[in-house]
Amino acid sequence: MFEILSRDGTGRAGKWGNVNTPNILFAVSERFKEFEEAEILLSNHEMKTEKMCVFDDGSRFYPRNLKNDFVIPPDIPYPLSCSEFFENYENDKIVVVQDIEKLDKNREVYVLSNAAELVKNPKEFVKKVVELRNKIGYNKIVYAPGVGMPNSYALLVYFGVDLFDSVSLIMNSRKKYFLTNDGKTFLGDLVENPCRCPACLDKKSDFMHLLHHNYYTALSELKNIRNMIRNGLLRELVESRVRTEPVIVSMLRHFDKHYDFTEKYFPVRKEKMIISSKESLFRPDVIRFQSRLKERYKSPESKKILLLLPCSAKKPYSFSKSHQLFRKAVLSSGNPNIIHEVVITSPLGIVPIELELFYPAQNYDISVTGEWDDFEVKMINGMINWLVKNNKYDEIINHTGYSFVDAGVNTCTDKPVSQESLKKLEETLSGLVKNYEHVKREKIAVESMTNRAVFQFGDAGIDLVKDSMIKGRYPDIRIIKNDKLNSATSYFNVESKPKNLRLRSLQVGMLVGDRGMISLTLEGGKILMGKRKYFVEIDDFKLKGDVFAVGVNDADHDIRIGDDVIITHKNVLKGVGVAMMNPDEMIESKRGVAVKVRHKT
Amino acid sequence: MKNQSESRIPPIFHEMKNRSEFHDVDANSSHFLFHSQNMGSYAIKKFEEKIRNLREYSKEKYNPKSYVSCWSEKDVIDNEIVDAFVIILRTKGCAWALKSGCSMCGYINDAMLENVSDEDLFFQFSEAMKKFNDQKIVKIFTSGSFLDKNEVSEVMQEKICEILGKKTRKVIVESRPEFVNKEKLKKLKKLCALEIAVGLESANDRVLEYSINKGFALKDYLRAAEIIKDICSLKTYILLKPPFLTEKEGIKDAINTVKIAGEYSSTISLNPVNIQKNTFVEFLWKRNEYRTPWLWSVAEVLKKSKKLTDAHLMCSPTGGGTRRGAHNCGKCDKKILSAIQNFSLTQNLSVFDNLYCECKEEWLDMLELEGFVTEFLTEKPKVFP
Repeated sequence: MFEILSRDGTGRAGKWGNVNTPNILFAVSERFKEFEEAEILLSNHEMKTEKMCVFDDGSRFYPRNLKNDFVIPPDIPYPLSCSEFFENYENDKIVVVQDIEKLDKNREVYVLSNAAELVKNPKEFVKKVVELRNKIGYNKIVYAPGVGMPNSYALLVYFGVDLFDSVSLIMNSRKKYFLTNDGKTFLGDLVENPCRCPACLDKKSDFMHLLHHNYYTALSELKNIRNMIRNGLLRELVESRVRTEPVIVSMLRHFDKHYDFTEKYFPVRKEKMIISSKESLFRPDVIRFQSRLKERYKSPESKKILLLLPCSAKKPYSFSKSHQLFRKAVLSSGNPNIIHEVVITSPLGIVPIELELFYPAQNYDISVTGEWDDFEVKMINGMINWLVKNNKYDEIINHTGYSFVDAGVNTCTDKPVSQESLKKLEETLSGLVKNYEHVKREKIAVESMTNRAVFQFGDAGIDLVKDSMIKGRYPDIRIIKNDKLNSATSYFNVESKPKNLRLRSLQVGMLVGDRGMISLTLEGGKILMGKRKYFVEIDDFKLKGDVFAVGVNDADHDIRIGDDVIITHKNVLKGVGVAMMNPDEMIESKRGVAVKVRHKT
Repeated sequence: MKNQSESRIPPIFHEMKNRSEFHDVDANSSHFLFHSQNMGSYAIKKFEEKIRNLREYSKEKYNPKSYVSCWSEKDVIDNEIVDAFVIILRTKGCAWALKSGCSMCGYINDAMLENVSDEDLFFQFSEAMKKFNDQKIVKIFTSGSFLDKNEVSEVMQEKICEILGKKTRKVIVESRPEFVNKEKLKKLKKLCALEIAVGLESANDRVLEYSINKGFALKDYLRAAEIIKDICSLKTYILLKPPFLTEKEGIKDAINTVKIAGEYSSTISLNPVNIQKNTFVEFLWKRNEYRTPWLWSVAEVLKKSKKLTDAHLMCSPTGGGTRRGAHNCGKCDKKILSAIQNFSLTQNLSVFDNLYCECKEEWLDMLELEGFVTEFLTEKPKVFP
């Protein structure tokens, strides 16, 4: 019944029946008539309506015994201070959740009891929301009764809340608050009405008109949120909305501390990332880039000299004017392939040049004033120290124009791109490289590609590039296993082994510039098979189109949305493609495309 | 006029933290047995425990020779408005409260917690009676059960009734249903014109169990009510808005209870929950998880239930108009309270006509909305952000 259609981190947009989610349940009662724009209603009495409606069955003291598909079961609404009495109240579709630990997983909607009381404590609220989602899985609807205002819906949706109700809108209207996406204004303080909704066009300010304005505002923000999710910009919207109220900023910050929870829902690739606030620096996909460096990265073996470079507005960096100038200096040194260019940047810290295509390195946009704040300096220093400590560089050249590390030769006299600085850079490098043997371009190409493969696939990536040649014009370059390669055949499935394998060169994957990742071929998939990583295990059937979630039996927990995955059935490769869901969802869900198939066997 | 129950909330409360064992209960009473058999679920045990643990007792001891309080107030006999004399005696305390107690009741704060001798109790009574001024009604309350011999010995019960029988037209005492038996009542009935007041609070067993922790069920009340009705007269206390019920359910619950209790009672007293010290409702209220009922609700219950019963219906909201008692927005409280008082004496429903205030809209909203959100709409609305 519930299908998630777009995912953006922990937030999602979908359909519950024919109702778009996230959405607002509009309360219908004697005093509050049905809001005509509402897609879904909330009622406490039997009523006939074309629209989808959720019914509230009252409490255990006086249950109403309503008969309908969607009835919120009667509960005893224990407040938070009575948590020792907590229970869950359920029918076969809906659960009123008090005791998360004891929850049953097989229901459709989970009503977070005490949500309105919980939000008063941002840390606790966030903790409960995370606990709940961890317990019930990704494919369940979460309804948070009594919470949400136009300026906080985005954040709550980002937390994974799918349903709200109109109670807070009614109560704020009664208190004469005019709601906007920026918060609330007391009606008496509203000198000019900025709104053009149907209710405001009437130019009346009685309760019902105010209420309808608030209804329209809320619903339109929900539509906005759904669009942002579809376009992958929910986090950006959230960061802008939370600015309107400190308590919701705190909630976002607390939520970001649950990195292990949030990260797994974040795609490994998006079109755009806007860094606009302090919170942006703690985005799960920013933190993941840094952690992946620490977990998966080692600098190329042949690189002996570390060259720290400033970032550029144009991405990828190497395509910018400034970096072409730096490149020229590096090339002029005479032995460029032992020089490791590493870009210093906020929010990522450091980007080794061979990883410059990986999201978000080529996708982020940040305001640049030429100055770093204390946090950024500290973060960047930490990253550089980690790099230097964990890799064997003989020399460090700092051409950023900023003294990040104590050690290192500063080659920047004024601006990094000034004639003088570039000249000094070239001279310094030339002096240093003389002491080293010349390293061939082909060698460094393989080392760099290995680093990319490992960054993307972990250790499983090593074999993908081992003994291969790199061909093509950067940034679109192919990984070719040449015909001398007998060792690689051991990974190949015997049955599908072409007879003339020895005579052919086989492409195992390709670094695609726009995507910033390696796209696997079937041959590449076969290599990953042996490592049992990035696999999606399906039932035994021949792939025709994409892999649907219903056919998925298991999936590697390291898979993230956007990752290249191999599709397998009992050690037989069925295809390769791109993950469209996180692994939990692939396994649990019965609807939707799990893997978009690129090649099938 | 001094408000009865308000004065029963003592200025200081009393500590009894180290009491390891509770008072032995009347062996004949069935209610504790009933409780352990039928209501012994885990949650209820915890509820009892929580209520018990919330009581804090002062180390200071009361003087067993000093009564709690006494005053004169208006009441009605046979449609005639008369003066009534109220005495609160200090006894050992309510047997149920000594074990666990009701979620809203703080009367145990007044109790001695240990046996009060007949001499001391009689001294209290005599001291209070010095202020007696030939009122037509005398109410002898103990913050517990007058008929519980552990609080007031049988000798004292008879002695007090005998004295008052000669001095006044009607004597009202309070008791939990388990202390009501035919023989005892017949004996006392001979001594004075007796009315027994029993706190039923709610006729819904689930409310009694999960919200009030009353320690008895409707059938226990009905047993006692049958006996009292046949021998003397019965007054029933009904609670408005016990914890965990929404305002609307509170109203429904009270009306429903009037309907049932009205069959047996000559008087029904509606008691809106007020926040007494060291009680479970005070615990909730301090956390902004409970709001005392609106005066609009009180009026609503009186209006609706008057049509359901012939019993005399009265209400004197303890702490009415204050944050700890039933209240409205603050602007209209006095107006509504005086209408309620008027109604209690005259039974005339027209006193509620034409009462309006802006806050009535908020109250009406809340009656419809409170059930939708899974928490209670209290003074500081918990609506986000």
